[in-house]
Amino acid sequence: MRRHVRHFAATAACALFAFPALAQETEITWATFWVGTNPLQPWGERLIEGYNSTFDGQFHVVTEEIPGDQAYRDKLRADSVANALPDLITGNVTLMRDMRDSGRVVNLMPFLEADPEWLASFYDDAFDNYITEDGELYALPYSRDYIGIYYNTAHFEAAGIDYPTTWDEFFAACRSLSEAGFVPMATEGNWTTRLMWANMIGTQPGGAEWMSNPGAPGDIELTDVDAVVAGTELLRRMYTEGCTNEDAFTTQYSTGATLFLQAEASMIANGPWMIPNIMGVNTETADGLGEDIAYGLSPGNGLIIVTGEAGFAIGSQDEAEIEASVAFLKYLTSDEQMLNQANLVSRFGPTRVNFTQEQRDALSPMLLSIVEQSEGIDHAFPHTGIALPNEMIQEFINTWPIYAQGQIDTATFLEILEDAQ
Amino acid sequence: MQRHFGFSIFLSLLPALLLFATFLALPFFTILVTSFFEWNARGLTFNGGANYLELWDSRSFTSAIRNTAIWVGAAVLLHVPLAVLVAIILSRRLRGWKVFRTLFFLPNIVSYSALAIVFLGFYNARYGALNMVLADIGLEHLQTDWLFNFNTALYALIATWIFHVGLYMIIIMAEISSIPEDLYEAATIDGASEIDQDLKITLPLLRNVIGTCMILTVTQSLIYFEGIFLTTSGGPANATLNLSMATYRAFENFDWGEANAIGMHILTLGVVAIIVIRRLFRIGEHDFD
Amino acid sequence: MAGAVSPFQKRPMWLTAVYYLILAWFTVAMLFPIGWLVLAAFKTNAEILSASSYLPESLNLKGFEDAVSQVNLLRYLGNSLIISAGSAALVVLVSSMAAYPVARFRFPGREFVTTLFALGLVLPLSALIVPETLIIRTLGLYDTRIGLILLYAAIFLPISFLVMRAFFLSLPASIEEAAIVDGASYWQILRKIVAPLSMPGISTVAIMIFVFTWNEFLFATLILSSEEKRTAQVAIRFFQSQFDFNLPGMFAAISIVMIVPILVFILLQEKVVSGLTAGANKG
Repeated sequence: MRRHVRHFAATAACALFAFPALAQETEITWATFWVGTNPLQPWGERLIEGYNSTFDGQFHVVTEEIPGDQAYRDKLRADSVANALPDLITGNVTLMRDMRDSGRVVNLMPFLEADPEWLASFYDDAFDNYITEDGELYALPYSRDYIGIYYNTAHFEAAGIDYPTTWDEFFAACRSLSEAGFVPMATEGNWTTRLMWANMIGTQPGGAEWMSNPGAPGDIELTDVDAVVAGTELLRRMYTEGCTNEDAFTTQYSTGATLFLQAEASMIANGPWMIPNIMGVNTETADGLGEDIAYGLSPGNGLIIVTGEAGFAIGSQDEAEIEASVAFLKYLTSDEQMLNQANLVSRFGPTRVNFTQEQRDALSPMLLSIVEQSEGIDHAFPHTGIALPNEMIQEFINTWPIYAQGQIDTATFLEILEDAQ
Repeated sequence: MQRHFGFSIFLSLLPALLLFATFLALPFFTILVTSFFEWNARGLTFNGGANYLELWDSRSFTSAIRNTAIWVGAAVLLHVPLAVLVAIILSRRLRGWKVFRTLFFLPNIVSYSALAIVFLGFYNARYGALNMVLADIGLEHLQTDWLFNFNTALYALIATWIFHVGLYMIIIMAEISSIPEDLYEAATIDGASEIDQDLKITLPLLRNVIGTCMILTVTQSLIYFEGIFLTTSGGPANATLNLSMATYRAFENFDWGEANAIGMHILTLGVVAIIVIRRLFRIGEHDFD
Repeated sequence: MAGAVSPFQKRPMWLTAVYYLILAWFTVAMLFPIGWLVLAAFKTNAEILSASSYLPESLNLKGFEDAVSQVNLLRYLGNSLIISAGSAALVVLVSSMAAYPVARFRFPGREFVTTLFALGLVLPLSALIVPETLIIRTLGLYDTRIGLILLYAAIFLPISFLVMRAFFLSLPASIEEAAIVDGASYWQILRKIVAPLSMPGISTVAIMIFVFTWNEFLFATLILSSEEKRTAQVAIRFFQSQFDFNLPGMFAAISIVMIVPILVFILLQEKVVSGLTAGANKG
């Protein structure tokens, strides 16, 4: 952030002393929440710097920093109604769908088609989340996430067991870990709980297929789907058998994450962006935690794989600004920046990058190991935030505590979720 | 006498009316009109009263009405009376009263995003201070996950603000400070005790301002959601969902027509409450006419 | 002067004890959360999120360091001060001008005005986000401090109108009536007679609005976009994001940011002291 300040000073100085020289430069605005403690902040900083120096004299990007994705979403939706979107917009699938529906973002497909090399660099399924039936691409993905389960090998050793490969082994491991004095699985009733829910549904017969295509919002059925019923009951069992922490309903990510980072909990489901935290970047962890943690698949030999968890859209209306924004997206998905992303925030991109051995060695072993393990999985599926509509997710968070505590049965729980969409 | 003041009165009201017309009239009409529309990212589509029918048919709306009623009840029956009590005691200028006054206002100075983290920690099921204290005094059987147990969540949340009376306290104290002193002097000479004076002089003269605080607390309760949003988000199973939190949920889901239909309920309930309180407390009548 | 007569009357011991008991309970209820969050600034993330101990294990000053260096908090305090002071001044002026005639005179439309402002008390926040964005952008006030001040003034106008009206209602009308007989104009009465007499009310409303706007985050984010206008409350949010958080930094920032409204409170509340209850015993 300090760098942004200097940027501002530099821009102001340029405006004062060298205005004529800048007359040709197109300035674009990126509204971003990759600020402050956001894990993507270091990469964002690098992107801006790199883009501005690469296109010096031609394009220039400035940021509008909005802390917190909630405020960001509120603002962007209001800006879209006011027809005043910033040039570059970043956000998750939900926000990007809003942008699509508003009809105020640029279709990116023509630009990709005009540059076959750029188009070919993406994985075949990279655009699945953002392409309309008419083949219009309303947002560009920048990530491909392999979301597994982190586990503390020291805990498993102390309990004398191996990391589970089936759900039966998982519950047996829970008992052993509890007896050894650990919280087996850290959850909070929101994100990490829903990741486990996805794992438990996705590894059932037919579960991965259902997760990949559950139907159109409004018509999604849950009660009749065996994989959903079985997976949901597993999730409840995780709570009733004491596999998770006592404060498992706070809905605050920090609840579960802290337990795991303090080596009080043995497992947590989360994406690779947690690796820097596990290694002690920007947070305090238990001593030597990084050396004890391994990154594994879901029991049942499955893995959540999501391309384009979030994306970039272009809100410009002016041709020159669109051009500058497209150049930004190209720069964003260049090999150089994809490598930066992997290095700085432990995340792979949606493009095929051939890292050199040297570049590879510099990456986190946890990140590399989960990608390697993904080669041999039986089930690949997205997480619930991608598969299910927002209303259903909200209702899950709302109702999960009373279902877990046994105040309603599985059929009722799933009916409530169905009604919410 | 007001005849030749007519134009001055108009001028005096003008800035406020202009501010209202610019910034508050449009939101009001937006709520009113769009509550009859389906409004999402695609735009606006008229759907008659479908938003209202859907609401009246939903379980969560019933919970929201019930919880809002309990919330408002606590504000009216406990929050404001406690503020009056503290204001009267401090107005007696006990030793250290200025320190207490500043102290009691402190929670109003801190944004709720900070207080939310404090109370999430206080009530936490694993390490929370409340459960620890209960264990220390031998009341282990009362331990629970206060904010996420369906039966305790709403009351646990109400307890987070019910004693934070600072705002109403200073409003009432300012009013007490403008009560003419000779009233008390006369009473003291007649031998009335302090409590007699509070009950017979102070309280009746506070009628207008207590009524005003009642209006404020009811309307603030109706639109309050930040503290709920940052702790329980209305859960578990809508146990802490109030009307305003329900509005916010619909807003976040980009179901803005429905959000504004709930908003219309808040508006209507608010206006009715204001009228009732004004009647009950005879606000607007002068004390010294 | 207050207390001139009262020393003749003694408050019974038991009553003093009851008073202090009540005050003690409220002190605990207030100090618990405030003390907790100030002390949390000296803790670590893990201590805040998993230990019940009230006191920090060691005095960790990193939070304060981060608050000053990472989010440049001190830089933004000035912005907050301009906006809060500006809004409070504007609201006090506009709302007293509107509340006075409504409290004192009968004129056509008086009830209408009162009901109109009452509506403003019950507009849910989420219903304001889009309309206010549209209005501010249409007026060309986007990313201007004056835009945010005007918006705050409007949002908090109804609440101050209501409180100011209650104060005006309790003022004895006799002095004003005498002034009218003497031929004073409306504005002379308002400035020379009413304003000085309502200082307790005015300072109370000023504190209220100062604190409300000081803590406001959402509209400060929606209306102001450039970094040099950022308010302290917005800067504090840089310590928290969905998957990462620096709670000691956040609580340190909150503790620093708290100081300004406390000072404003102490300063303005002095205005209320002069009149406080007569029957008081000093001690």
